[in-house]
Amino acid sequence: MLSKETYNKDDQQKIIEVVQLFKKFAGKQVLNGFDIDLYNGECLVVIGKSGSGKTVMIRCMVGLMTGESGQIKILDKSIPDLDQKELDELRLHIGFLFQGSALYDSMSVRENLEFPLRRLRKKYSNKDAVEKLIREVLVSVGLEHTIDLMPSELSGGMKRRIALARTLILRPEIIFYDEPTTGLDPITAKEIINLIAEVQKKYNTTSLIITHDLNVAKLISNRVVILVDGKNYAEGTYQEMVNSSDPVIKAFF
Amino acid sequence: MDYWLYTIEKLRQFIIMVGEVAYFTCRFFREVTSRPIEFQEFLKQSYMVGYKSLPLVATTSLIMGMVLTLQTRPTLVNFGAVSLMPSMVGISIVREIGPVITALICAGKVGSGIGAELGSMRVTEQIDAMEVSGTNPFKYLVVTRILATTITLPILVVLGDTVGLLGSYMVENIKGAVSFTLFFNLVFDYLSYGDLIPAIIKSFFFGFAIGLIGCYKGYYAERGTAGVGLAANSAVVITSMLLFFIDFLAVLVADIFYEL
Ligand SMILES: Nc1ncnc2c1ncn2[C@@H]1O[C@H](COP(=O)(O)OP(=O)(O)O)[C@@H](O)[C@H]1O
Ligand SMILES: [Mg+2]
Repeated sequence: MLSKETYNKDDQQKIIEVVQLFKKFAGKQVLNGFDIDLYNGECLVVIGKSGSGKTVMIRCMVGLMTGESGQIKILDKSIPDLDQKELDELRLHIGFLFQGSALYDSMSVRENLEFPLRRLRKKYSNKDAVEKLIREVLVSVGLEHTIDLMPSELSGGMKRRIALARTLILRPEIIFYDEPTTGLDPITAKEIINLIAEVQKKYNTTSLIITHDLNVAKLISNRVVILVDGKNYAEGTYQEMVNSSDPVIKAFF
Repeated sequence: MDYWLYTIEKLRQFIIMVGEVAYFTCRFFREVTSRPIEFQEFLKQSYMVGYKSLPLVATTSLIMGMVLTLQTRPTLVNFGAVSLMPSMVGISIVREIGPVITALICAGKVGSGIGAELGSMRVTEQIDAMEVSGTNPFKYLVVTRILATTITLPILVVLGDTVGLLGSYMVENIKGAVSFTLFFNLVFDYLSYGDLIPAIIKSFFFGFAIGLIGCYKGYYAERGTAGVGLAANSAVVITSMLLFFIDFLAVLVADIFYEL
């Protein structure tokens, strides 16, 4: 596990800064002035009910959606102002684990893992080097034997691990996790949480995890943000949240 | 009252769709020439389109050729013009029936397949995953598929025409004991490039329409699993309508050239 006690965000550099993000769909205000800061090496967990706009929020952050207004800065670059090329450049530093794993159905595990390397064709033109990289990252998620399987042959937990491997293969400095444990049984969920903690420690990544699974917050968060009505309602360590007397917060914990 | 509101709403949706398809088409032409060219994916898709639809196209064409011959034969016999049979069948297959039947079969088989495939990729965030991993999904998925259908359909049409003529020959051979050489000599006596070339050009447009609408419907599939079925279904319906519309335009244009 992380050494939560020794982590002090004030020593660290700010990696992500979101200020007053607004987003609506067909008249329904989903994000209503959301703010967030993320510091180097930190693991921030955002908790919110289903349909509260968690996914919309991180999709805006990686440029898959655009908000109506608000500032999003990642590694000192303002996301809404980037052109496609600059955005792709920045995305090299960002990993994204999708809610349903989003493995490419028509490709084997190997091809799935090769896919992110396509954009670095020149660097990874050597077949043996690519194979080595793929094996290495598969070992780190404990699924080396699945290399030639198709996604349809994997269980939900295995899919999530392969998806994590696909995210890790380019060694991103920042990883966004969209409900990494949702839809998994409690034991597999724990394994995924441990894996995330390992990754966090091994590669010193900065993580933003959105979830409604309290275990995630309990086991690996440095800080928890609670999202209610499209705004951050409260913020603090897991322990502070548990001890809170606010009924809205209590409803979560 | 409700009926009018419904009609106006449908009309509004139709106009929006036309606009989106136009945008989609422009984007295709903008991205088709830009680098990197996803050549491998294009080859794979072309192979899939041809491989998936060839058996169906061959079967339907064979039956169409046979039916056409069986049905027109008695009439021609009555008029004592049965020797015109091969050329008549040849012209109708090459100019109209071959391309339209092949395109409709492909709309059903390939268009719905593309709609469902891209639709499920959209719904399960695979398209987004491509986007964040720095591969332009429009180029990788859409451009390659539209190119594949555009290039493959004319080839399928030529194969379908051939099989259709063979079907016609089989019937003609049984009923009238015409030899293979005589039959095809009669066919090609009347067929000119003026029949073949417009049909081939038309087939390129058919192929383009099949790929375009399938991709458009899949790429913009609504969230949820219902979106996938809807994408596949409406891809077939809209493509089929569009095929007849293109066919009509093609005949109009070809007619102008004949007058000249
Ligand atoms: N592409 C979209 N089109 C329309 N509505 C959307 C879209 N994406 C999300 N929404 C709406 O935004 C709200 C928040 O969705 P989401 O961020 O997926 O919730 P969650 O917090 O469970 O991840 C939901 O009410 C959803 O219906
Ligand atoms: Mg979500």
